[in-house]
This record gives sequence, C-alpha cells and structure tokens, in this order.
Amino acid sequence: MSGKGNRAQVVMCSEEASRHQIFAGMKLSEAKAVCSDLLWKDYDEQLYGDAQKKLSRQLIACSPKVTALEPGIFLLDAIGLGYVGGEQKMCRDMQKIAGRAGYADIHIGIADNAFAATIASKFKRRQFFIVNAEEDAKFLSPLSIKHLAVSEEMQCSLHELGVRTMGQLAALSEESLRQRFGRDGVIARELCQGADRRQPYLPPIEREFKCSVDLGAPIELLYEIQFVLKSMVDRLTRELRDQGWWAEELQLAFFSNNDKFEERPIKLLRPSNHAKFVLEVMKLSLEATPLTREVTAIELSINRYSKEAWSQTPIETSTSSGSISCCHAGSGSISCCHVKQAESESVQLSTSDLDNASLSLTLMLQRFVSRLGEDAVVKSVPNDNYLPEQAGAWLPVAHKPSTMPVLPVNIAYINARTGPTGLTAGLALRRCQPPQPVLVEFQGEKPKSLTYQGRWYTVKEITEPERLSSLWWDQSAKRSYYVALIEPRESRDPRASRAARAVIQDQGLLAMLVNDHDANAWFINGFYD
Amino acid sequence: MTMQARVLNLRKQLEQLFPGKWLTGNERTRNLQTGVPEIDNGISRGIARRRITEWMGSVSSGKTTLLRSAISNWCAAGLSVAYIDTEGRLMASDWAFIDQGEGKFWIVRPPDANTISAPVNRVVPLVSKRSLYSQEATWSADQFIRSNAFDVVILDFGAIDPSDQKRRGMSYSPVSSRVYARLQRSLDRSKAALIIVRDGTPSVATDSWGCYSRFSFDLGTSIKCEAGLAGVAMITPTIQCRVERDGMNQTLEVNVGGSVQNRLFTHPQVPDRRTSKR
Repeated sequence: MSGKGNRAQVVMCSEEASRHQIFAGMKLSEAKAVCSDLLWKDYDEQLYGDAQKKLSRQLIACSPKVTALEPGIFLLDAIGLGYVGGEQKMCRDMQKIAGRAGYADIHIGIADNAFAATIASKFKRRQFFIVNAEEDAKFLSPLSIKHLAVSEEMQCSLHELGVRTMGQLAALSEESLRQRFGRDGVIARELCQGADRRQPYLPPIEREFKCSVDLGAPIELLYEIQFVLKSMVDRLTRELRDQGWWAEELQLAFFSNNDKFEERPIKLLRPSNHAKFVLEVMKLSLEATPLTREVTAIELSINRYSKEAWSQTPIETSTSSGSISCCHAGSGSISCCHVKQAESESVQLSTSDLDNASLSLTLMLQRFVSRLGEDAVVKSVPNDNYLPEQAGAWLPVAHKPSTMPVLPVNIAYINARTGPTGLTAGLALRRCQPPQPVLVEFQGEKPKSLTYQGRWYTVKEITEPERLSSLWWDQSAKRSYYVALIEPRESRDPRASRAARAVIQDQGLLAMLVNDHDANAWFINGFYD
Repeated sequence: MTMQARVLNLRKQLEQLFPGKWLTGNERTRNLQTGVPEIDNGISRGIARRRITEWMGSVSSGKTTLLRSAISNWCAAGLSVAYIDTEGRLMASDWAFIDQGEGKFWIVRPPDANTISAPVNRVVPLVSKRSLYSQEATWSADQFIRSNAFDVVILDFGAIDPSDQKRRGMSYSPVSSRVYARLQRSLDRSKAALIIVRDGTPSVATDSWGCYSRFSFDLGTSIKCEAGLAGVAMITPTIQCRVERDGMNQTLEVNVGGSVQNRLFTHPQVPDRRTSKR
C-alpha cells in the first residue's frame, strides 16, 4: 500500500488477492470493501528499489543489458547467446543467481519482444519457457486477451464483440480499433502482432557522492563544524555540477572517536547544487537540533540526487497589483510564493533579486521544517464530506503528500449559489481537544441542561440536529450535531476546579453539541468563536 | 533644505513619536481593510501595518469568526496571511475556502495538538509544554515577519494556561514586554501587520503596552434564531466589538452571515440512513 489512511492505494497484490477482485491502483477502502480479511503492508519504495537494484547488478553476469520493468520484473537482452552456451544455459544461470539472492520462485520467458517474453514467463507456470525465434505472433495467437493490460471496459467490449484471443484481435484492422478504442486499441493490436518497442538497456552507472573528514582534534562549536562542512559541501556540489546533477537529500554522520553517534538525513525543499544554499540548510539543521557530543570526524553523503533541470523559473508578473509570484520548478514542494511590492505601483525585479527572494523564502520554510517538523506549516483544503470534522484537511506546504487525502469540492457550484462570501460565512469553530464529554439533562426529547468542566449550564437555545452517518467501511460514525446556546447556572458545587472557573465565562456560549450514537454519549466538540 | 523637505522631515519625526497620527494621503494603503465596514470606517481605520494589534475576547465571543472574515478579504485582495495556531484548535473545514483568491494562507500548527513535546536533543528550561510551544509560536511569527512575504501575521495564543497563570500571577501574559519589543523591532523593518489573538478579557492582560490598537469582542445582546420546519434551524448572534486606539474607544456591533451546509456540495457521499431518531 502506498499513502496513508483510506486514500492509500494498492501498489501490488498476491495472486490470491487478485482472485478476490483486488488489483493494483485500487484504494484501500475499496479493497477492504471487497475483501474484509484483507492483509496489507505499507509500500516501502526505498526497500523495493534497493532490492531491485541489487538483483539487477547481479543479473549483469548473464547479460549486459538489464532493465527493471516494474517491481519483480526484469528485462534482459538475450541476443547472441549461441556462443556462450545458449538460451537454456542463460535461464539456468539466472535461476542460480536469483536463488543465491534468496528468490526461490522465479519464472523466465524468452521471446523476440518484451511483451511475448513477459507472457512466456507466466506460461503454464513453468520455470522457464522459450518461444522460438520469429514465432512470437504464433505463440500469442491462441492466448486470451486477458493478458493485455487494457481497461476492464475495453476487455468487456472486445468480449462482447466476440474477440477472445490475441490472434483474433491482431486480425482486426488498425483503423477500426482506432475508431472504437483510440490509441489503446492500436497499441493492443501491435502487442498481439508481436511488436513491442520496449528494449532492455545498459543499467545506469552507480554514482556515489560522499566525502569525509577526519579531524585532528575534537570540535563542538557550530562555526567550527560549519567551517569543516563548507569545504566538504564545496567539493560535493562541484562534483554534482560537473556531472549535471543536483542533490535532493543529504546525509550527515558525526563521529566521536570512531563512534558514529549521530546520523541525520537532511531533505532539501528544492533540489540544488548551490553550495551556499546547501550549507545554509545544514546550518539550520544544526541550529535546530544541536549536537550532543564533540566531533572528531564528519561524513557527508548525498542520499538522493536527480538530473539538473535547466528550465528557467517561471515568472508571473502583475504590475497592477505590484505582486510577483515565483514557482519553484521541479521541486513540487513549494507551490507559490508571493513577494509583495507595497509601495511602488509597477516594479520590475532583476533576476538576482528574484533568486534572492525565492532563496530566502525557501530557507524560511526550511527553517520551519528543521525546527518544527515537515507537517508544521500547513494549508487547509476542502474535502467533500458531510461530517464537519472530515470536511477539511490540513495539507503540509513543505512537501506534497503521495496521495491526496481529500475529495475535491466543486467550489464553482457553491460560488454560483451563494457568492464568494458564502464560502466563509457562518461562525468559526474552535475545537476542544479532545471533545469534552458532557452529562445532558433532558426535557422531553430536547437537552435542557448539561455539565461542562464541573459546572451546570442551561441550554437556552438549541437547533434541530443534523444527523449524519458515514465512513461505515472504516470508522463508522453515527452522530447528531447540534448548535446550542448555553448559559452558566449558579454553581451548586463549591468544589468546581479553579481551572474550570478561569475558563468559564458568565456570558452565553455557543457550542457544538454532539450526540455520538455509537458511544451513546454526548460531547462538546468545540465553541463557535 | 526646502520648506517642503523640512515639513516632510518634521512629519516623519512626529510619525515616530505619535504613530499613525500624521499620515494623511496614503493612510488607507498603510492600513489593511478588513472588509467589515464597521471596523474599516471606525477609529482604527482597519489594521495598521508595522504595528501590533491585539484581538481579544472570551471563549465564544465571535473574535475568530470576524478574523476569518478579514483574512478571507485579504486573501481575496491578493495579500498573503500567516496564522500561528498555538493550540491547534482551528477546524480545517472552516478555513478551507480562505485562499481562493491570489493571496496565500499558511497555518503553523503544533504537530499533534495533543502531544506537544520538546524538540529532540534540546535542553529546555522547566516550563510547561504549552509555554514551550508559545516560544516556538513567537519564533514562527518573527520568521514570517522577517520574510517580507506575508502581509499579515496572526499569532494566536488561545487561552492562557491556568498553571502558568497560577505560578506567575494573574497579570501574566504569554507575550512579555521583551517579546513585544522584539516583534515590534522586526515589524519596523517589514511591511507586515501583526495581530495577537488571545482568549480573555482585556483586564486580564495588563502587560500589553506594545500594542497599537486593541479589539475586544463579546457576543451581542440580540441573538437571532431562525425557525425551521420542526424547531430552530440556525442561531446567528451579533458580535459586539470594542476598539481601543490612542486612548479613544468605540463600540461596534457586527452581524454574522448564514453558513453553507455540507449538504450543498455537489459530490456528497452516498447517504447512509442508518441513524434513525433516537
């Protein structure tokens, strides 16, 4: 599963799960609705990536061109094997390598193209299956179209048209498939005819950006550490620039007498190979979380890096309002930053000014991330949900979540009916953390009075409840929401806490009163303020 | 030096001595309009940039509602607003539609409002967790002001911690004079306006000499109950606002608009009608 909560998506699943109609791309809530006994694990991209890379490196012994198609599926070049023992020997070698790496269940298919080879590897669940040269179309012809990775809708349509095998699909004209299914139909036909453009290629060279300094004497002051780091950062950033890369994540390790006492990954808010920026970020991290011991050696490595983007920062200028927006291309972390020009009517910033402005803003955000955490700076987004607690979510500004935890709301619809002010009309709630349980006294069916923090309140006015229930597939919620105007009664209990007396005012309070039908209890969720 | 330059110089000096009094032509650009006519046309003339404004009121006094309305207006006008929610008590759904305009609206919240903890490896004095987060909140406000990217910075301290108040006396305020002075110094170099939001009545906080104007709120006497089919459908109070500036004060009354219910949204969930009336 990738992502969090019910927005998590299935990345891959076992064959047994597939038999229960679970497939990759499905949401966790949907999968749980289909199969209540579902067992799932979080998708660790790093773990799978590392394992894939490790196995790829070992498979190079069999063929120089090795490509990882998707988790667990590798594409190897099998041309010219006649001189080195033939295709069967290659299959056996691959089985040995995978076995040594701890992968016992391995299936190999050899064909002229990647699609036919993938099907051959699954064919009759054999250890290996070799399709004769130039017989890919013949091999694929009697097989079901279910092997094609096309939409379910297209599969059904083909089935209804009487097309069951890949041979039948390959016989159809390209034009008719284009008209009926568009580009997907044409690609499916090409695959059935044994034409697949995917090719294995030489694996990329592993680069390592790392440097370490063994100091003669222990140091502990920030400026001393910074001085050492500067030379390391200068060297690494120069290497990155020369090779056309930029850093995304750094790793700092501190040693004291050969004992590694701290290792901290530092995520950059935007990829960079700018020494000043990287050094500033490391300084922020050291200021936010100072070292606990003196340092005798430092190791700096670049955990993640990517190809340097050469596109210019897009600039939007609006002279009438005097505002300049700058977006950070490629980082995907900072959406937009505004630099206001309050005094001047029409201002043009030079490129260096703009760079400085964006740099200072990024550093500001980096300071927040270093000191308060990645999720400290947030923005609120609407979520299309009935329950007031679920009708909005806080999304971090510093990084983009892998899956959006919200359903988008059609704002134009509300704007059209209530106008722009309607979106922020009504009273704002200040939540109680956690919701405060209250004891409610009834008069007929309506609450008459309640206790809150050791004091009785009379319910002066109360609205009709908004009865809501949802999320039955996750955390069932059955609640009635009331807006109640409550006024304190004269206290009969002299033991009411001082804290309670400090908070309680003698005026009326407008509270959100909630009846949780599942817990059979009443709560004050917050006060309208 | 020409006469005109002398007058300009004198005006600048007087402005430093009596801030806000000697501004004439461009006063409206220096003051941010809240969009609430009663406040914009009152003695405060909106919210002053480069100044500290106090926004106070007891629990359920309407201060957050009016502040949200002002923020919405600022964001729609293209101004960017930063809100430091020290207690993490704001509801995401209430603030979800704020930044529909050009302006940005960022909120700093404690990572988990229930588990406010000290940063790792940091030696901290023996203070309550809330006080610790108050320190972080002040630091955050300072950062936003210095960034020169945000037009309005809102520092919401919420309710005063009773334990701190007990220890330090009834006149205790989370914003000390020293903090006020430091924030004011940062404001002097920026164009932002700082609003400090606090739960409580003005009499509790005596330690706020640094604020330029003060808005204190309370629920008004007239509360409108709109009748529905089977009872009261909506309670809409009026908000009383007392503005204090330069020894002058003014009392205003503001009406609150109706709210849009979730059910008006276009893609509601499939309704589950299991909840019958108990």
